[in-house]
Amino acid sequence: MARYTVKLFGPQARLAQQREVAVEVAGDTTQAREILAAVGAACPALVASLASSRLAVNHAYAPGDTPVRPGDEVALIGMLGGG
Amino acid sequence: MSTPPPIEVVLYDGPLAPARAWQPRSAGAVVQFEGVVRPTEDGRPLAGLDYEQYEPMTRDGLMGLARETLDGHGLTAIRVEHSIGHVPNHAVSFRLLVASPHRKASLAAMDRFIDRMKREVPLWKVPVWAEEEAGHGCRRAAMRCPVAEWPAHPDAVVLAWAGRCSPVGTEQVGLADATGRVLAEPIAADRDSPAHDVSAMDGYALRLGDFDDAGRLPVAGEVTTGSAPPALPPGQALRIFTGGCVPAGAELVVKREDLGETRELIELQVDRAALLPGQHIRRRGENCSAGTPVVAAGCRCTAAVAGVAAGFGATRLSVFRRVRVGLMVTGDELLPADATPEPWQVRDSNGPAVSAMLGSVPWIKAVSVERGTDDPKELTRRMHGLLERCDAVVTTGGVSMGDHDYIPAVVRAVGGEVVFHKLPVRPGRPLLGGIGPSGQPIIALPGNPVSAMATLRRFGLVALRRLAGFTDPLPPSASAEVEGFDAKPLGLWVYRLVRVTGLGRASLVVSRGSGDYASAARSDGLIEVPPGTMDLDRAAYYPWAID
Repeated sequence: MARYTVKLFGPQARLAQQREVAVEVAGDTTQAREILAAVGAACPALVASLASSRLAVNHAYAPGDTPVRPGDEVALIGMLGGG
Repeated sequence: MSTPPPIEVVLYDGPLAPARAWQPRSAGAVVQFEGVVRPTEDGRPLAGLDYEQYEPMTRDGLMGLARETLDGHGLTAIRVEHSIGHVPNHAVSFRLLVASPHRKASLAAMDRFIDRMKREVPLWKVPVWAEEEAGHGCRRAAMRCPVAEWPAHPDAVVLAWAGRCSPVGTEQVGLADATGRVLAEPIAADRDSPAHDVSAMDGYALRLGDFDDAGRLPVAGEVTTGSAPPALPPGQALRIFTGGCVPAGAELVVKREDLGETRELIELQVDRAALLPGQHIRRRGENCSAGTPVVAAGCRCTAAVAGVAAGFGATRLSVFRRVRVGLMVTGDELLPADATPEPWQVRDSNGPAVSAMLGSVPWIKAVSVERGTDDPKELTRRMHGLLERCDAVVTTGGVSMGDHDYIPAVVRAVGGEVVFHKLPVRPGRPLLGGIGPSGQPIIALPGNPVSAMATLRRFGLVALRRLAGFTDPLPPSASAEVEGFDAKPLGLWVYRLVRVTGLGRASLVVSRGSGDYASAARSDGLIEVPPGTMDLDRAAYYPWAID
């Protein structure tokens, strides 16, 4: 099992009441969509907003099949509200 | 004005400062959008919004989007300003400026940019509910994202505060009593200006085809100033003077310098081809037509405005009544100026200084001054009284961090609200802006004399101008070339005492700090030094004298 820390912002950080959520996924390498699903499992308050959220891996938006490795910087980007 | 770079993205900590002039070269259309924090969301009162960014992606995301928008819509330039951190309601949190050769591209680009930003750029806002505000500060500080920017100009905070006050009532006054007051209604032209076609030169009114082959024309007479113009006889000219009514039938006025003249005859001294119909005639209504507003409401009645009003027959003007300002200086150590103080006492200098600064302003009514001791009950009683009698209350002292700094508590005790307390400025950081129970601004100045004068001149005046009915509450500034500027850069907006040394030139006055009121007496006003400034050629200049 590999451990990933996913950064949270704005309304999602308020919903989760934390700035980061830790998830565990099997294998040395996984894909962005598996981490997204793991975030929902680790923090049920975020489930409703995940459908309209994306992951950023190492400061770039990551499509679902993007490989993610332990040590990568992972951020949940959802419920945006600029302007 | 120098032309801005084609793409700019600026993130500010806190609300945005008022927009500054932005005029890219060769643009045929410039469009600006501002997002303002609403006071409620779904009917629930908001104190403001907390904006967050994901620092490694937000600025790059805005830059990338700006670049795509610039290229995709053929823009000349684009500038994006966005707040990070807390933005109180009524303040501006987002500003987008786009310029293009033609209007449609700018309008389309603006809409497209905002839609995409809301979907694609890592920016978040979290509502700060009014009822949570009291306990929110600590939580907000802990969750705030770091921003590598200097503090935003406090004007936005001060403007949002002033915007909660309403202008005082209006009254009708005669023209002689209107000087310096703020107009509550526009002045409109009661007739065309000029009211008749008039001559712009001393010369002769004539028809071009009436000259004979030698360029000569008999003179029939003269247009008498102040009389109805005679008709222009065929084949003749009429002498006319500047401002005289052009007679019916005249095609142009030929100026005297272009003619040889006797009492009965004129003779052209210039090429006839150089004369054009309409020459040297100012047409009826050329300046403005009847009914056109010529001076807007919210402006001061200057000498020029008085002249215009008289010219259009406006002998009584609707103006905002004078703002009644109550002043309370606080501090147990203060004595009147004619007392002999012990070494631990001081003579009150703030009362006379503030009275002098405001007392000579024509749109402010005589300032009533009270001295309060450091007793919260007495201060509350005095504040109550001033709020009942005055449109605005100015206090000095009692806003810092001392045990006897009671003013924030006094504002709340009278049913008021502390809108802001402490600004990123020096001197004058403890400045407090409050709102009384009936919407009166409470301007709580620091006690140090230079701080009190500087913050009143630069920030307190914003609320007073709002009350007075000015369209733009920000006090006007000039710019001055600053001689011998030297300072280490600070993360604050700094105000320095200066003395005017020539037209648009000023030099710094040596000062030992905000308690050194002797240095203020040697100064003519303040310059404003932005955060981080290491070198400065020109700066905004605020003279002590207020118009």
